[in-house]
Order: sequence, then structure tokens, then C-alpha cells
Amino acid sequence: MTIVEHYLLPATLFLLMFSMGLSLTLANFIEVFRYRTAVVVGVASLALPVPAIGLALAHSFQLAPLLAVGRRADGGVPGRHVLQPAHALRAWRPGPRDQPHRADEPGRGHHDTVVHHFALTEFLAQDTVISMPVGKTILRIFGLTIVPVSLGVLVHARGPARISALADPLKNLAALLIGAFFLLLILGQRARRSSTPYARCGHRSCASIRRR
Amino acid sequence: MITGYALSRLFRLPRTQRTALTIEHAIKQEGTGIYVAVTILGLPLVALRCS
Repeated sequence: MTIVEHYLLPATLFLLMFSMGLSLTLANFIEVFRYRTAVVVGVASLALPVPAIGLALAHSFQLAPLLAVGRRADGGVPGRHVLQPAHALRAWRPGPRDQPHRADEPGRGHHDTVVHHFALTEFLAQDTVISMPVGKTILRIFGLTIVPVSLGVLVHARGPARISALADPLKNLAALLIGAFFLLLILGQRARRSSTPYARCGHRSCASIRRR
Repeated sequence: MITGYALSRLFRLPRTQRTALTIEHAIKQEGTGIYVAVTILGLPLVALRCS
């Protein structure tokens, strides 16, 4: 999974964004300012009602903590990972259990992190945090979205026409690879089920997952 | 998707924008979500939900 996580997935995303850029022109970006209402409605919808529905679903179906947080975080953030400074930015501090910060980030004394505090408190327990290095995340997302899209737009505008014609096949290929990655993820989780926090978690929905 | 469609109807957006907004609610950058959850957060389980 490490090769897939660290190389294949970013490369696929780069390819997807690049192919998207190949089918765009600068005029498409200007249209964002022409259709302001649609943009505001779209962003507001992703930021407000969708997370509320996610929270309601997580409560209604008594989801396992990590799934519930995933659903809440998923709904709560437009584009899923754009930061929500209003209630989410806090300094990192160690949590009591299931601390998911990565072992390959040594010397974490006082890093800024994004914490989806409400969902975490609701589903993982008070003072449990998910560490997200803000600068690194922004940089990586920038590198995997803005850069390849800009490159694609540039190639579309200035490059040979036969490269722009590759936009659709490249998009299909990238979508296929993401699908394959998702499949690998499911299989990996099944294999690791016994060693995940589910195995130790006392939450009733985790216990029900263990029984399946 | 229903939320996106309902809101776009509420704000009387034209059909093309309504379609775009509904599809956007369905897609929402799945790949990037998986990437953040798996590679940066190290939480594959959250990625499964993101998908």
C-alpha cells in the first residue's frame, strides 16, 4: 500500500487534474465571476446543509467513530479538505487514545493543526485530535490541483492540438486508477481489520463491525 | 445530490447550473479526499467514507 499511497495516488490525481486542465480555457475560469449566485449556493451548500445531514446520518445510524468523523469531515469541508479556520484551527496537543498522528513526523512539539473539533468530540471523545499539518497539506493540495490544472490550461492554449485531444482518454484512465486504488483500500482494510482500532475500540458500532 | 438540487431550485438557478451543482455534490473531489485521508492523515477508514 505504501507505494500506492505515496506514488500512485498522487500521480493519478496529478494526471486527473492535468487532463481536466487540458479541456479548460481561461474563459472557463472567468465564468466563475459571471455565475456568482451558483458559486455561492454551491459552496454554502457544501459547507452548511451537507455537513448537517452528515452529522444527522452519523447519529441516526450509530456509525463507528472513525466512519462518523469521516462523514462529518467529508460533509463539513467544501472540497473536503479546505481549512475551516472558524472552528477548526488549534495547536496540536496529544490526545488520550487512538492518536492518529503519523510516526514519521518526529519532533512534533507545537505544530499548528486542523481539528474538526466538534465531530471529534462527538465521536472520538474529548481531547482526541486528528493531526493535520496545515502548511504541508496546503502545499501538497496546491501541487496536486492548481499546478497540474494550470499546466493543462497552458498546454491547451499553447501546446499541440493532439495533446489536448488526449484530455478525455487521460481522464478515463485516471478515474479507472482511482477506482482501482479504492478497491485496494477496501481490500487492505479487510486484511487489517484485526489490527485496526476497531479491534480495541469499545464503541458498540465497532464491536458490531468486529462481529461481521 | 438532493441537497444540491433542492438548493439550486430554491435559488432558481438555470438548468445547466442546476445540473452542474448537483453533479458537484456527487463528485466533490473524491480522489483528493482519499489522498488527504490516506496519505496526510494516515486514516484509510476515513478515506473509505470520503469515497
